[in-house]
Amino acid sequence: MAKWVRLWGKKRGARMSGWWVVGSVGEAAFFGILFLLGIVSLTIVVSWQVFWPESNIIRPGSGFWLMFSASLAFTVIGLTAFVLQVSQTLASPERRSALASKVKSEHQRRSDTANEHANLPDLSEMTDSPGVKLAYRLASQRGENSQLILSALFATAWNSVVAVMLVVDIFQLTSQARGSVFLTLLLLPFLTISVFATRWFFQLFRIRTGIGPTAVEISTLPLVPGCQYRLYICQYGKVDFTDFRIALVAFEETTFQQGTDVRTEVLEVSRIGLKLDQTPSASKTDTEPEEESAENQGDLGGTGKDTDASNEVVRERALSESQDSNSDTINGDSADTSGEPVAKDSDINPNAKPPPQSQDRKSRRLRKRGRSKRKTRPSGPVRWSAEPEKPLELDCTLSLPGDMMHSFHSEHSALVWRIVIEGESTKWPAFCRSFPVAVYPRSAV
Amino acid sequence: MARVLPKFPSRRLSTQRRVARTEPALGLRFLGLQPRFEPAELLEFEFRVQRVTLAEVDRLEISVMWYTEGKGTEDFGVHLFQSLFGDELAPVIDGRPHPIVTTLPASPLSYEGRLLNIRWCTRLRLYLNDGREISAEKPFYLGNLTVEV
Repeated sequence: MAKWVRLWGKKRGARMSGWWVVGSVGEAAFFGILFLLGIVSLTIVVSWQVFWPESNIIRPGSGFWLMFSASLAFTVIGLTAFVLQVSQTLASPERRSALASKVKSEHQRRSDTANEHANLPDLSEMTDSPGVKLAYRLASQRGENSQLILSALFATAWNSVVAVMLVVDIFQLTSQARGSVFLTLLLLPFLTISVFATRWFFQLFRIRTGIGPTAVEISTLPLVPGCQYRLYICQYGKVDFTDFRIALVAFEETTFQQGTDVRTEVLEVSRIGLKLDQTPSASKTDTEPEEESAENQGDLGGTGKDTDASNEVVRERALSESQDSNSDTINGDSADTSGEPVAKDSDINPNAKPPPQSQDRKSRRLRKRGRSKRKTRPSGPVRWSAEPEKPLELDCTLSLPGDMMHSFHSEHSALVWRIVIEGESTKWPAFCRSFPVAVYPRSAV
Repeated sequence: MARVLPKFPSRRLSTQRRVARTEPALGLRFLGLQPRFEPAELLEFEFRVQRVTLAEVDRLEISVMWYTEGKGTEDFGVHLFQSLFGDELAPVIDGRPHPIVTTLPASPLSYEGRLLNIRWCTRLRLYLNDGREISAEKPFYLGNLTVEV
């Protein structure tokens, strides 16, 4: 006896039990019916209005346009999903991808700004801002101001609601013999939240504006493994740093479905650090920069082949040309500069692996908590200072190992390289800013 | 040479049917010694379709592609794609090896990371007239990144 066709499948790891054709046909039938429904209703709505305009059944107005929009949406969704489902059933994934690539390459051929390397980051966004000292000024990572914007929006909206309620309450209290007690009592928690929201916004605003913006310039883009590049970093604002770290960091980003949720996970996988270990020197001048070598740090690809690569800070000076005051300002108090800066493990050990994921999450959580709740400031010596009229300027050389992975992005996964600047100051919470860069494989340049 | 046998049905076939039916076999082989290639290098491989007649085959697809593996949803990109059907099938369904040559692209390089792996492979898909689909795959390495970054 023939086995019954199983209509519903069960997920067995990566595969599904049951007959996949039933599912595909069912889905295609559903969207086909949706399309037909949309077409029929759209025809009725439009033809009724055209041929019987005097009819009162579907009058032009919100009712007519609502029916029209719903019918149109049914038609578009039904048709798109039906075509997609049929094409998925009839063509293999390779065929669909080949067709899509063909269309994309044809489109790129016609376009002037064609990107030859589809899975490498587009350079046009990174190279549209020329630098002052070097070729390009890098844009900071998008979304770093999102917390500030969110707090501003929330504080504004909440305070507006509270202001309206307050005005109403005052009006009731003054105009009537007896005001609303309930409204007055409700105002108390609302006012408390309002105070906290406003405080939250000003705290973030103070941190953002107090430390000042960071400008990063680079000699050329894209970066190619095995080559050397010059970096120029300028930190504005009024701030004394006890620790200031620069690193080229690789992050893996993946988007995946967990149940019905779509999640994105980001993990740091590699770090090429630049050590800013400066010895104070009163005789340090602009014309005779004191070169201090720094060991190549970080996990450079796991093989440790690039022992000759060295990332070093070749010059550090203030914008002002006054030499003595500059060296004092940059290096801080000379009595304090004998202390060694605190470096992370990955900065010190060239073969150090990044911490495991759980540890990484934990440290990120702790760092986050530290940023928001830490009351005690770092008590280390001030090693770098920026003044409003004398920003902190750093010139560095970045040597890339030959066996590093290039930047990559696809629909659900990416490997991104960013120049990450982290600092700890005496007055402000620790800060971290990142600037995406593009690393191309040697053969692609 | 990668040889892949088709998926067998879960139900046991009758002895008579088992004897009468032969399953097609696909073969893929690189002409080089190592399955490792550099960007812009020529990839030379051959494929072979055996134990099937022309009348049984609907179409044959040959592709050179990369795909992502790991925690995220799988993505893939096709570098070379050939679909043979109708009269084009006659010269290749003869059990003999047929060479394919293509120049490999500059990126993406093969990569083994923590959340993300990028793999390259050559893939053969055979569609039979009775609705069955048989595929064979032979992975290779593009670039010199043998370990994670």
